[in-house]
Amino acid sequence: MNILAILARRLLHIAATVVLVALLIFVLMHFLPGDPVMMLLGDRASDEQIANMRHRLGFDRSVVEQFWEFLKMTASLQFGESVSMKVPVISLIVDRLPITLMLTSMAVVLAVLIAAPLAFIAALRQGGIADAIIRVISQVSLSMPVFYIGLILLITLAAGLRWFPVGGIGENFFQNLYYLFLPALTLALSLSAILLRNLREALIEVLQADYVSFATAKGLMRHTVLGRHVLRNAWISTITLLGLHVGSLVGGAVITETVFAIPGVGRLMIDSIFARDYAVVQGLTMILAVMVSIVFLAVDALQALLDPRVSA
Amino acid sequence: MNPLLSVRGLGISIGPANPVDSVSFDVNASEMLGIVGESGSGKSLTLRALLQLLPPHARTTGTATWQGRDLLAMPADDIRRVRGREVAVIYQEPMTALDPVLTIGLQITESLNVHLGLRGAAARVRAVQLLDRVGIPDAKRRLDNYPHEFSGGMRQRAMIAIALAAEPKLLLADEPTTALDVTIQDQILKLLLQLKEDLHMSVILVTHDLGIVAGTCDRVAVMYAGRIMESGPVYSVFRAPAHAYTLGLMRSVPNPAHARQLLSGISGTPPEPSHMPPGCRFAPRCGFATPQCSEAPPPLRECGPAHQTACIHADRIRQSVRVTA
Repeated sequence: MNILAILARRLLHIAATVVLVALLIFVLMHFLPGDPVMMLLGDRASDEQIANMRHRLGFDRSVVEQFWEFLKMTASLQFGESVSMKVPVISLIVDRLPITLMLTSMAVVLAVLIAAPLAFIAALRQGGIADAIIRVISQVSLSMPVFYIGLILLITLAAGLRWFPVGGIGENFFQNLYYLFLPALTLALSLSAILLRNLREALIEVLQADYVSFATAKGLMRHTVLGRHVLRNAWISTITLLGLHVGSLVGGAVITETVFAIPGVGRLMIDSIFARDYAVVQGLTMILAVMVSIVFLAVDALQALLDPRVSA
Repeated sequence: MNPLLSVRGLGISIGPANPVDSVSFDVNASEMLGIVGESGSGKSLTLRALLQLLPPHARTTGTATWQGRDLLAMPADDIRRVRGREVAVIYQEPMTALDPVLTIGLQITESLNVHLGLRGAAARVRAVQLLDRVGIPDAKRRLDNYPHEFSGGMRQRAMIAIALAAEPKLLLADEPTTALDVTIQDQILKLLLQLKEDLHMSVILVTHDLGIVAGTCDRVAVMYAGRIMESGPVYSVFRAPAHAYTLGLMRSVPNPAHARQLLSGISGTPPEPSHMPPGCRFAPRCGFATPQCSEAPPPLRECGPAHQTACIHADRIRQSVRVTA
């Protein structure tokens, strides 16, 4: 089977995922305690006002009708209007999404930049002092919660040493690179620990493989053996793992954006949950689910490209 | 004439274990030397030690003189230039020795690139010729295939083509046919013999199969528990074995001409590398052993033209062969 066939199959998976996520969101939101109508209108609203609002929000129709409506709106990216901010949900998301995308992309790049060299050092000197230190540090950063790492970085590097701003975002892309560095580092640390452990194991296994010995026996330069033969075989599983963790990165972004006061979709999510702004939460969850599915798709395609045995 | 490669007193230690101990042998130009022994006898380690391919915690002693220089003591950059260019290796299992994520073409051209400076189209043209030479049909198309798209025999041919890309003078073949079907084995051995003639190359063939040695090699060294027990011209060693271990090995081979014969074999198991017996390492399993055998390791001594044995009872063993024959 070729890569196109794999892609087609995965696109079907994504469609199925989207419908399932939609169903899940829909059911969850309808079983949540608290009535959005009462939240909006307050305790003293008249029955007529309540009925009007319920009609406006479509709550007076059957559950199946409401779900069908929700699916249709989702497909056309019409998530309705935010009841707390009085603007279309989609425009809120379009406004806030780029900053979160930038934050998570920077986190992924940082995580790889931290993990890859350390994994190489640890694997090449397996059992040595450097290996032991690297393993302890990765263990520690794995066991610390994201918000705690964020606060420590804030207090030391931003508030203490004043190397970085304590929060917010800049006015253009380059300023954002600077503003988002600490938040991205916060997000990256635990991910890099996960990648580091996986890549170290993979490298150690590959270094002992016959084909690495054979490549060395051919008289190739050390860096060719490591870069071409060792790395290309070892990173396949690590890239898969990275893709799987992009989902949890979104969860981390919610926390990080709150700690660093970044106006991304993570903050939007938290604010909307507290305001019981159903439409925003639904819309955001859908968009994030689709994006994570697309990342999984990309990882699958990448894996097929990197490992010829996958598409066989 | 000076030998092409001269190994003297090669010892390998990995932690407290000494899997190879004072191994000495010569390889002459255009010669095929067989090294036979059971698994764990140290024959593969010996091969890998010659190109400094042992795991990093392994230590070697002794010398391996190649073109006036000691392979075992060469700096990393110098031994790298010897690997593939002057001395090449092929491994037992081509499925694991070829890189699974790179095309066969790339795995050949990278050798051509590093040793002969061939790049791009020139390298591909040469790669096709090399695959052709080892008998891979439709070589041009096969260049873009990955190892898993080849059959077992074709993979072994591809590995030979890769190893011989820079036309080395010595090929170290580590059980090159063990993983293959018998019919394919025969083809691969014939191919190796052919290439040895065409390229005026010497070969060290490591195997546990006496039949392969008898059919292909000029000389043979029999290894047991990290030491050479007996060495000499193939016809002399197999006609008049002068070591109890060689005799035991020969009697463990079933002879198709005498079906249902009783195989005598060798009782017991080889010693652990960390607990080698004193004296002759084969003595605990040997039917000819006397208390004297366990006193000191017997050195190799002449027992015929170019024929050496490490057995102090060589004469008794030869007599027993004559009696049973």
